[in-house]
Amino acid sequence: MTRRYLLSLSLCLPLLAGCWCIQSVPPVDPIIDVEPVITGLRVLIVEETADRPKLPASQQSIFTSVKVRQYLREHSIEFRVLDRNDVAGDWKGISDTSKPAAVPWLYVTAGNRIVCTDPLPQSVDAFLALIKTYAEPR
Amino acid sequence: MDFIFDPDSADPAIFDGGPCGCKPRDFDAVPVGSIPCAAAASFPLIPRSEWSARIRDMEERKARLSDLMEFEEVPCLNQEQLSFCHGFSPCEAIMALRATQGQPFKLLSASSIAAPVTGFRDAGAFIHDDLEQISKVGCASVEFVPMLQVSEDGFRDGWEADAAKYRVTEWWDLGQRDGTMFDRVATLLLSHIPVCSAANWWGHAFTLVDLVETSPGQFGVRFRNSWGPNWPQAGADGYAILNESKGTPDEAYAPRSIVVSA
Repeated sequence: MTRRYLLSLSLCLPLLAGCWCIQSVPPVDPIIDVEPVITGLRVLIVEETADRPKLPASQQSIFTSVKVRQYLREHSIEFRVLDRNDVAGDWKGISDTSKPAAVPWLYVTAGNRIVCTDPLPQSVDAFLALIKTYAEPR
Repeated sequence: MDFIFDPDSADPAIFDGGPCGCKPRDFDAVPVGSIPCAAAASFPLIPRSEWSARIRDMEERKARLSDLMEFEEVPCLNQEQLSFCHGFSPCEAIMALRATQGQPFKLLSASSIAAPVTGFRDAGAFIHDDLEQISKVGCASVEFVPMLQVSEDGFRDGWEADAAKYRVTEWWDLGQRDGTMFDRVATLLLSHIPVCSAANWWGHAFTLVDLVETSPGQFGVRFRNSWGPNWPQAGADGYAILNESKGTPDEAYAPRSIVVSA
């Protein structure tokens, strides 16, 4: 009985020691050599509809530009242009968290984080250049 | 290719696309400011001297409302033989506005607006009554009310709850035809905002989407009719152009504020 117990112990001890060794190896952080693309981007423009006629034509084009919509669709970016009195639903939390300093105002969010809160750029090209910095970093 | 619609010289057959059912507003009985859901339009006008350059810019950037509606596949509606143009025009305007806002496309039922307004009869009506209906109840999707529904028994349970998701809470009342009506319309169109228009010469309501320059210094409007995608000709998708004289509305409205879905 004692011999059988010792035999079992002699077989188990190396295994236990092995487990201990494996567990004691500190985790190694994976090396990331590329900046991760931020997923789940959402873009919200808050505006005052009655002020639209005062905006430069180049800035107004952001609202309906097919080039903008194509890019956003290709990159699965949700997009809204909402009057400041109409902001509702999931979008309300964004403008409530960070009130627009002026209108039109641009927000970009990634998940629950607001990554950009700025005046709306003045043209389609400037707008897309800004959005690309989040959708296609580097 | 744009179709220039000159009603004075057009083939009479072009008027056979569908019935007209827009009763002209009596501005003495219903003056600007008296429609509860529609505030008097108050925005600065874009000077005519800027129109040509702005139109060119929108064309080059493909940023016209009609460009966006094509991209977002907002369809041309077809009222067929119903006299519900008073509901089809604002219905198309709501879908256009939702497209500009980036809201998901939803095919809305013009009959969900027009039929309750007419007491569930196929009849004409005042557009402002349809606007009130959209403001109080909303515009249901075709899942709840078929597009060509007249009787109440075709309105499915829950249609009002669905309509409330597509409610315009405030309209702009652009008033009646006067010396600056076309300028008010042009300002909204250059600002990418659709306009519900009624023309007394036609007894009809339709949706204005773009300001166009018909010849140097001469302007008109691109509108979308609700007589199906093959009006006024095959492939036109319901679009045609009216010159300033015929395209200036006798009454006009624009959606100012709208319920936003999540």
